[in-house]
Amino acid sequence: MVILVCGVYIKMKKITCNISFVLAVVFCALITPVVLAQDDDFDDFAEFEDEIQKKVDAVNVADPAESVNRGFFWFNDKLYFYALKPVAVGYKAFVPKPARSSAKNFFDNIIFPKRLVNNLLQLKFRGAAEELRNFTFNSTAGVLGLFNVAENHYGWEVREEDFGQTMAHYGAGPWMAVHLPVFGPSNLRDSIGLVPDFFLDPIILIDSWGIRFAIHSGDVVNETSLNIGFYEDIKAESLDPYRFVQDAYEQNRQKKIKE
Amino acid sequence: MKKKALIFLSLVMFITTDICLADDALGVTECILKSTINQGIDILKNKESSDEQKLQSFDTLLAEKCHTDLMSMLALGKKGWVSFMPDQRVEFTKAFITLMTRTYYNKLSQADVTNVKVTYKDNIEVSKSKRTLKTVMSNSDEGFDVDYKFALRQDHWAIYDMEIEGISLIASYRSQFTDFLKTRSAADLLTEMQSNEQKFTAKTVVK
Repeated sequence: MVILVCGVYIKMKKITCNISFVLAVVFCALITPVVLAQDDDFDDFAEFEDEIQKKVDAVNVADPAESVNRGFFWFNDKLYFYALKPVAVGYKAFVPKPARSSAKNFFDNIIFPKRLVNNLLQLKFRGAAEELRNFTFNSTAGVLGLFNVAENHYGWEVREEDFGQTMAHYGAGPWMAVHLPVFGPSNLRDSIGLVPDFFLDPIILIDSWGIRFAIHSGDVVNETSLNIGFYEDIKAESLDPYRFVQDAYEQNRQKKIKE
Repeated sequence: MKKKALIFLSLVMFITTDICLADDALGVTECILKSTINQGIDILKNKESSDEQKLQSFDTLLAEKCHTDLMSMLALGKKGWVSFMPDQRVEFTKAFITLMTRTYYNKLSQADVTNVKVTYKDNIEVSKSKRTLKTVMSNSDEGFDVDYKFALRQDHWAIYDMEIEGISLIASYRSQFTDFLKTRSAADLLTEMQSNEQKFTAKTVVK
């Protein structure tokens, strides 16, 4: 293209002088690589560009209720900084890390029915069997689940499955972005999935809603105490923390669904 | 045979953490990652260096081990990249790499990196010029799947993206930059990134 333009330029001038011809050729030779390099920048990177764009498109979920979602994001942000974080920081100061890690293991262990049933619903019988094995080991050798012996000593990983993943396994898409108060980033499919999962949580067997609420709150505070600073970093390094959180949620869910 | 290769690789790693043989792409990507992690840990553990010196060492390490030009272009995307003037592209690349360095330096400097264990799960040949190295990074509490994406450009294997639990660093930035540029200009984006950089610098100094 540049050579063509230079050629036209040279023709138009009807070169009569050798010096100007030489200068024109040198000029064209000099600028050609520069301009071509700029034009070709992305041609050279096409395969990389396609890969990233596919990833972006795959998690680009419609957000028709964006203003409401952003409102809940703002609410959760304030809830974190003014309530959850101060409580978690105080709790962290009094409870040593091994105890908090054990509490996390305990809560992760008792939610095993949710993982088991959703593995079975997706016909992942191996995953279900592994969950059953891990639960048995952690509940016995791991002292009621306080120690994750299955993973730490045998390298047996948790087969994380929930009803949102089960629906996705049978073809359900995310439908639309949702940001739930308290729960945080989600989509319509996964928000609906919370309902059946709620009934697979053994804590619902406790009659008193007050005790149930206290246990769940304890779980959330404990988990937060192990991750203080994580949300702050996301907020600080993002141009748009809401967009980042929703986008990261979808990318992570896609990975879990594929597994 | 595998054992011999492993012993050889260990020897190479022991003699020098910088040199990785370029004729075995699968081995070389693991070697590059190991040397990057080792050098990163060395930088963080150096008690004689100030934060600013450590940041500079991180900049150098990142420039050496990552395709920073490719990462910047991919983070902005073709549409975004062509809408930038040449001088803005240069400025963007500098700001983006600085943002990444500051972000990860702040995170790593707060973590106990000496207890981090890296398990190499798989090394996938995506194409002649692409490899994905699958790892699990773990400490005493938990582990994360971290996939490193390597590209071969000008006979040089280096990282161009990483995915933590499926979350791609470059794709995440791409979404944010694309959204930003829908309503605001390239100059606004550069100003915003420079403002973020100043916040990080202040945070590092305060820390």
